[in-house]
Amino acid sequence: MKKVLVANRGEIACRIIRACNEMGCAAVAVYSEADRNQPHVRMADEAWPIGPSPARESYLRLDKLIEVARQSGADAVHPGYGFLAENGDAAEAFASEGVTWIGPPVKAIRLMGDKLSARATVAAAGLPLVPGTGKGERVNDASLIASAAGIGFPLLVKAAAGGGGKGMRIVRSPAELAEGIRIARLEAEASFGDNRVYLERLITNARHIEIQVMGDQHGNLIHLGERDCSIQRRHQKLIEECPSPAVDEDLRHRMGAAAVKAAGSAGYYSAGTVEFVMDNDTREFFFLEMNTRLQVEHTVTERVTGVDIVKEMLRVAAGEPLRYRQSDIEWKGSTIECRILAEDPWNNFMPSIGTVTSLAAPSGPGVRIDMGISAGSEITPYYDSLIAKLVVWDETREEAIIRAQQALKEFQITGIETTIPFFLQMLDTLEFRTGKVHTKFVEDEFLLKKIRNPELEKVAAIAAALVAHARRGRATTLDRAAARPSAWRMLGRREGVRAGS
Amino acid sequence: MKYNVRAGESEFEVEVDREGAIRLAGAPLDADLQPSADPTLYSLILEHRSYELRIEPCEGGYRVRIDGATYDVAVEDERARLLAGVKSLTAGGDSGELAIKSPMPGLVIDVAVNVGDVVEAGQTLIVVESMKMHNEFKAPRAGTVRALRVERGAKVAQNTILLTLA
Repeated sequence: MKKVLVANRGEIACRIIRACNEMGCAAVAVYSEADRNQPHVRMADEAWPIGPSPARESYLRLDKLIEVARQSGADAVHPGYGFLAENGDAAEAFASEGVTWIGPPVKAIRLMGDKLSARATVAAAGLPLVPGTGKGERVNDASLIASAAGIGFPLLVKAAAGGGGKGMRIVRSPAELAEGIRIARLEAEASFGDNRVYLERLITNARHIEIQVMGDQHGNLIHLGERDCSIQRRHQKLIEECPSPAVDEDLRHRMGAAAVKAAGSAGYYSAGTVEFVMDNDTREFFFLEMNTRLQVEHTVTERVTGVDIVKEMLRVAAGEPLRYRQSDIEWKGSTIECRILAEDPWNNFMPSIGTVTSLAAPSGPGVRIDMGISAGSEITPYYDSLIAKLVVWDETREEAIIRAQQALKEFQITGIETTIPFFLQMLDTLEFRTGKVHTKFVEDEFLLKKIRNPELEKVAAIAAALVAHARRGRATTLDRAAARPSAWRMLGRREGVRAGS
Repeated sequence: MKYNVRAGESEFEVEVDREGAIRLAGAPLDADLQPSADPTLYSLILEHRSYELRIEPCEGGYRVRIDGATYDVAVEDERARLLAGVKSLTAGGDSGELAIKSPMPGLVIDVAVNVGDVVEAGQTLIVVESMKMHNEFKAPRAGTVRALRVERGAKVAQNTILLTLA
């Protein structure tokens, strides 16, 4: 592979471009009108415009992406996550153009991409499933409602073609079921153009544990251990970590073996993730779905295992054998990832849109930042709200939490609101520190508090008063200020001059 | 010049005299605020305690960020305070009509009510998609849908009025 088309944007495009550069491949970026000034465009060797800002008119336009591959002479494509990453038609279309898909085989994408066929496939391979309905047919509302009693409440209405929490509704009582199905179908239609839904038992004290798998085209398939993604909101992951505080070595090997079996049943190669729901009370685990792509939180696994998953994907796509056997994989220390989102945690996580006026990322030992924005970047409503991933490693979980808090305090972003204040408080809760959380913890039990800190209030008040005073730019003050040099008075003078008064 | 400053739940009186000396609630204070080439980055040394701050103007004052915490600080000098007093006397009352606005730009993917519908508090009115999320706008109180300003499929800007409730 000489030239890779990176069919994505934001932090994951930057991540893939880095891997390409390190392996001596040229990287071709694509960008919508909204993204002309984003870092992934500047980082790449080539950059091609693919249309207007809405994803449907740019990053989801397979025809334009293929045209860019043709014109740029790219011999491979990395889809990242989201957009076309789990689209079997896209993988097939690139392959028919002679462009290598840096991901799993088309057959595996199709098989696992439809949750119903995925469940049937892994069940046949012996994996445990959460009780639920449906085998892929179009089921009408009446028969869904009829089968609900057998599953029990609460239950989930889920989109057959779904992912990432889209087209998913919790229904707590029979009375809510019809409305839940209606909204799930609507969201499924809007997000995936497919309104098929199915029902599934909801485990209330649940953890989300997923296993990273990696395979090559020579039949080798290994797992890289678990990620605990139980801190979620509206089914969107916020924190991921490895090791999970709820998984011991025995359970890791059992879940890992199950994940490898699931991947094997689909004829899988490249990077993939098998997601499980684990019952906190019984420690049973059930297959949820398989994501046939690179995952947002692959970084966590990279940090504890030392495996560069993206580079390994490139090698596997080129036909090379895996560089690791299962016995080579070891898990060292503890890693926690916080997803820094352009969402306002004080305002019900409402998307925060605007210009990033300044940006200072944390650094230091054990701190990794994967970021897709820079100072001056516009946060637009067109794409998801992930702006950076803070990935913190230390020798123990306790130390990793402390280090993550330090890094969060150093992370300065102005112009928009982010989830940083949420993480600072979440990492401080007894439940998180003792590892006793579940997937509904954020929504049902955690409450973001206005923590009073009179000392910092005083500091903020004095600083703001001095800035306000400086901006008044009063001539009399400026004249006198020159007589006795004082640091803040220098500010007053400069700012006063800038204000032109 | 005297400033009345409100940060969080605390109020402070900060005075800066013509020599640049600073007093907090009347007591002298050793404060050194330095700007930087980064327009929002400041260093404050307060009685030898050092703070790194991000400060930017916001509605009614300044947004100050320290160690991951954010404070919206209202700064009022004596003159502004007098003016504000006059304004609050002349401000009009509530019309009784309630406008539901979209706090972010997005795409209207569902309108669940019609003009004239009687709605209950908490009932879903409109669903707007932004950043791949579906945001349901629910009735903050019971009422009647007076006007629908958007239709399904419409793109809305920030602060667009979606509908009004009477």
